[in-house]
Amino acid sequence: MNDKSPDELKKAQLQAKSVVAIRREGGVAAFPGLMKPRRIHCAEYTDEQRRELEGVLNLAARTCSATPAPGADRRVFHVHVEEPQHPDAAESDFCVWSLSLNEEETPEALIALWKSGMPGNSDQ
Amino acid sequence: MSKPEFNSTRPGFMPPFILERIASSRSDMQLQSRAQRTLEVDRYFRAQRTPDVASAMAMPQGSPHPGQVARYIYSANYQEVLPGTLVREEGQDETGDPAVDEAYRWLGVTYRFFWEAFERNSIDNQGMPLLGTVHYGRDYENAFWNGAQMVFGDGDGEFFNRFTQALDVVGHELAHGVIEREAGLVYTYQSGALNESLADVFGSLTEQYHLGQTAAEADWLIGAELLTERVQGRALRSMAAPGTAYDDPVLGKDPQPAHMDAFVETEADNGGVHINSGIPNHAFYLAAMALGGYAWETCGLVWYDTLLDSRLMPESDFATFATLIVENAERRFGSASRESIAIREAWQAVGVIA
Repeated sequence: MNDKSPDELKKAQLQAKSVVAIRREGGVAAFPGLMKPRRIHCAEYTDEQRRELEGVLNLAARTCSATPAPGADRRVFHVHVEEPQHPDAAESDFCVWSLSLNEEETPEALIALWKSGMPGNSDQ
Repeated sequence: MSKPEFNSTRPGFMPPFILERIASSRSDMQLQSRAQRTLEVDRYFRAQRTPDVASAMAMPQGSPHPGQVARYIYSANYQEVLPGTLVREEGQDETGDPAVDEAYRWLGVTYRFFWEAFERNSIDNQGMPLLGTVHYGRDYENAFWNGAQMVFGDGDGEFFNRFTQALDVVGHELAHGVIEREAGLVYTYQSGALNESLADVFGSLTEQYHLGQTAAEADWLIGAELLTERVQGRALRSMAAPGTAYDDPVLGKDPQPAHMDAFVETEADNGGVHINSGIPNHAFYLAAMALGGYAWETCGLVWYDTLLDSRLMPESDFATFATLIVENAERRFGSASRESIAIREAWQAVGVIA
């Protein structure tokens, strides 16, 4: 699934300007509407929450395999961390970190993020 | 390793595409309520699910005699485990569980099609047992072949029905096993689209054979039973008119092209394997309709010959495949036969060969 081994993958580091995009692909048919990403804007969350999110991404990076799952019609999760190249850049965001995971090896925490979005307030 | 913790309330299923639709649909109070609940953030995260690999299991006994199927149906009991608990095996009575009994029945029908149409004895042509797991996951809206067995979700009930309901989808998944064993078509880009198309062709032929339909009588739809009434669409795919199977606010518009002029260059979907398969799918449809009669007696034989052709390589592209198809049509029916002509013209019509 990924060119680099888990040890070689650099750790995800999230800043306030980071956007985490989680997208699910694959399955027995390609429905364009089902491939829309969940976009998590880190600016909306606290430093502590961003560290927790980093933990989820780095857990996923440690557990993903290097090869696609065997068979056909399997589903895959893609994770991108995007950041603007310049504060005033008119260009689209730049991908600074990415990961692809076979569905069955995707941590439940990451799937939950895709389903439900970012965690709530840290004071709860 | 410390467990990541987020503040959340429930692990409900409400992915982005559904939330967007519900947010704009003020008429459906029930769904809005569900969306609101799910938009409350999750408290519970499990650290990691354990990968489940069917290949680690011991394979049960296969077909005792050519022409006799050996089926084993398991239930995952709404978890993502494989193969799950054995709930029905060959010769046992119906269980009363529709998913179990549909999987059992349709795997038998697919086995019979491959045996009676092509004299093929199961996935490996050596009587391999057919393993199917149902009730996989919760609201799981997919079916897949994992290299050792077929797996069927129950659907979410809102957009997708139980995946065992569709004979052609069960046939499609079993056909992936046959394709893997014979040609090993790499599951990316054009070779992956050929892999997908062959699975659709044999899935559709299984249904036509079961119903005794001629090409003109067939619906040429894949998975017509799977979409709920809520969805604006007829099926997962249309071989007769790729790109027209659905056009829905949530699912989007069917992206399949019917001609090389509209070939989709994409990294998504393993390089468009379920998208560009519309082109070879449509070639099969055009040839079958031009010839009329039972498609498995004409085009089906040629496509199967080509699947077994040693010149079909794991990374073969559309043009290579079409050339082999035409050669196999000429070898089976004669170079000047109406079959060869119709099949060549079909590939020309979709722009794969000149």
